[in-house]
Amino acid sequence: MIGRLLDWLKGIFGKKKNITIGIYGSPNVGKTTLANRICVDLAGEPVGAVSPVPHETRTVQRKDRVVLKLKGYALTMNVLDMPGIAVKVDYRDFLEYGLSKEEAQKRAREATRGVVEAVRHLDKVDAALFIIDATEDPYTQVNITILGNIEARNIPVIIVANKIDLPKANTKRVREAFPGYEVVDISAMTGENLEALYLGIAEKLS
Amino acid sequence: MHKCVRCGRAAKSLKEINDGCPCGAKVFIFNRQAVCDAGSEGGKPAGEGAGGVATEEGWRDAKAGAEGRVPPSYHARMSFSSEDVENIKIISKGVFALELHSLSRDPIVLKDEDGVYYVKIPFEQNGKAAGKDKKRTPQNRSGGGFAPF
Repeated sequence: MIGRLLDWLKGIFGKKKNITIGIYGSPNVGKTTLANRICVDLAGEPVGAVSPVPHETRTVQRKDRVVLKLKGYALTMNVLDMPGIAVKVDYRDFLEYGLSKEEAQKRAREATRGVVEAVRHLDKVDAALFIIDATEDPYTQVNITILGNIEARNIPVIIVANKIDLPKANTKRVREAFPGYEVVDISAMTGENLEALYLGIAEKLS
Repeated sequence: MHKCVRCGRAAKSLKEINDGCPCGAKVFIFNRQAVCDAGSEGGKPAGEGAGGVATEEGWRDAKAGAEGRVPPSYHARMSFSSEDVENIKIISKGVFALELHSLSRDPIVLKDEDGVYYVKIPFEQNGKAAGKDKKRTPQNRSGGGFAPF
């Protein structure tokens, strides 16, 4: 009883008004799909365009005052959809999607600028969702380096193992790669298990 | 012989070197080989004995060009514009241009060729997380290191 009362008082007086939450990860892991899902579910409108061409999001997309109310928790978030972080950006990777050489080079330049912007924002976010494509090998330089940066700044983070709707998804491998982190399995595409993610966010940040 | 760095035209007189090339450029490269060739033929290269190249940049370009280290457009390629996302450029083999201000705060971005970039993300940006020092763990306070790759 007293514990619940304390939690209630903490909820009123102890929490920050707006939590800035950054959605991080490699290109094409489903960051914008998840950001759109969260913002449509909680605020009624998406944040950005989704594309099969890597590096579609090349600047930080932002949606403010996204309110999460769930099981007694209430949280107001500024959701930041980050450009995909990569250690190499090569315009030739875009040519297969029908872009001209000039368009591909421009996209590569903008994508690289986006990577820099996303890394800079590590100092501006209060919390992070780190998205990993569960169908791919999680032991990548980007995953380890960015999680290391998040850890170094003591930013609360939830690892989101995305694309569990695909047959190749292996969430066990994600957990084995990053023991000690909270991992939530979802499909941003279908919305599967999104409630567990919302609950994880609410519990961690409220 | 002095050659314009922009159009490659050989300077015909000392006045042209002082006033600038008709194309508008004011930097000339001094080509020692051409001087030797001209000397052996008994001719006199333009501007010889008149104090050398027109500018200090010209001296550096000329010296570098004579040694075959860098192309004539050395300085243009060494500079950074607001359009550039990279903070390290490969000018030629063993010659790099560094954008020091960006390197002090951003990840290392190396431009290999137009549209190909390599990014090195440090574990912690120097001084950027200063406001969050209290939250940092002791093992991370040193900062400045890189991922073990």
